[in-house]
Amino acid sequence: MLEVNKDLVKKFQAEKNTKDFEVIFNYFAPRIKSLLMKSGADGAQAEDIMHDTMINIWEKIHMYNPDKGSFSSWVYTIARNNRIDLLRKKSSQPYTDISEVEIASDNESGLEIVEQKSISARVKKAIELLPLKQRKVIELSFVNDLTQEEIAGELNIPIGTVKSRMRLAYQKMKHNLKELQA
Amino acid sequence: MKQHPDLSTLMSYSSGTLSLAFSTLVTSHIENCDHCKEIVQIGNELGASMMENDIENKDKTEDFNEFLNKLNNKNNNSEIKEIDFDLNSEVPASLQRYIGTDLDEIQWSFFAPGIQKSQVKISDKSNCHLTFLKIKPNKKIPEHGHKGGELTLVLKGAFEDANGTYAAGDIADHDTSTHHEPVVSSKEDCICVIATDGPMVFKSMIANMYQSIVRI
Repeated sequence: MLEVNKDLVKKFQAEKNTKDFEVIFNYFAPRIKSLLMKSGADGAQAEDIMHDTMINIWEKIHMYNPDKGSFSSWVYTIARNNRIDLLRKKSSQPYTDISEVEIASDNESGLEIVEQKSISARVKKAIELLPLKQRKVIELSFVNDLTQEEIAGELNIPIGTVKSRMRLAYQKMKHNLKELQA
Repeated sequence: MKQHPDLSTLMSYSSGTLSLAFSTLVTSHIENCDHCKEIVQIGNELGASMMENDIENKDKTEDFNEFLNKLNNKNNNSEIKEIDFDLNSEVPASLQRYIGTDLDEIQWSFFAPGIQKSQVKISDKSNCHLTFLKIKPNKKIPEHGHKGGELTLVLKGAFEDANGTYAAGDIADHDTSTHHEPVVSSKEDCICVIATDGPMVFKSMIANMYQSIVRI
């Protein structure tokens, strides 16, 4: 499988051709669908949301700004918002995400920690370094789409413990990302 | 901005597991908060990494030609809708679709002496709503706790409680462990918007009886 790298995304932004998009599709489509099925979507719903996400990528590629985060995180937020709209909110009002507002305002994010360079590898490593209990809470939230209350029920722990593990996981992640950047 | 959502709330925002009401208020806060934007972006990178490193599905493929047909059909049948925000408004962009761009246009009704209320339904397929309050200077909300989470975003003016002062753009993030008695500390009316996933529980029995009728 061909790699989705910064150059390919830049080329696709400039030329918007089907050949480059096929590489993006082949890399992300199975991953988006798999994440959706783990978060409770059935096969047909996962396929619909994946298709909607890929259509959004095609239509909104000009809005992606590499200074504000990795391409993968942009794809993830589109898939997440489509999932929210279709599966959880059951609303005809589309979810207004910060990325849409940011595009309108054209603010610079000023993020130092999330520059494109090898971010994906560093985040993967930073997650691996999380203590097991914190990592479990993060997985249940990000992969299985469980609310804090549902995680508390699943793990049979108080909701305050879920919150504190999430806080600790974030602090540890941030620390790990800085260490790995050095 | 000095008061931010709890770190765990921001992580849940990134994972997409907050309710529509909660996520709308968090978006409204982070529109102008670089501190929280950075936290949410790290959360988004975390979510992306979880999606990318799903080992079981690395070799699976999806039908690109089928997708292209769908894309072509869509291109022939629809136009992209651009969202138009007024970025100079005192109403955060993510609330503008619900209340417009002018706080003076909100239709208020009596809630309690010195307090006016307006409820806005934000989903036409569920009972999800936001409660706007307009409170006179020096007015106290009676001491209360919460049966669930509660986010309060200040849109104009300011209030304070034992945890600090909350001015325009600040968010108060309370859960079942919080008991407080907020009081408006600004010279002008304080306008704030509240999202809850459980009712307030007042220390006073009378306030509780009233709350069961008018319910925030």
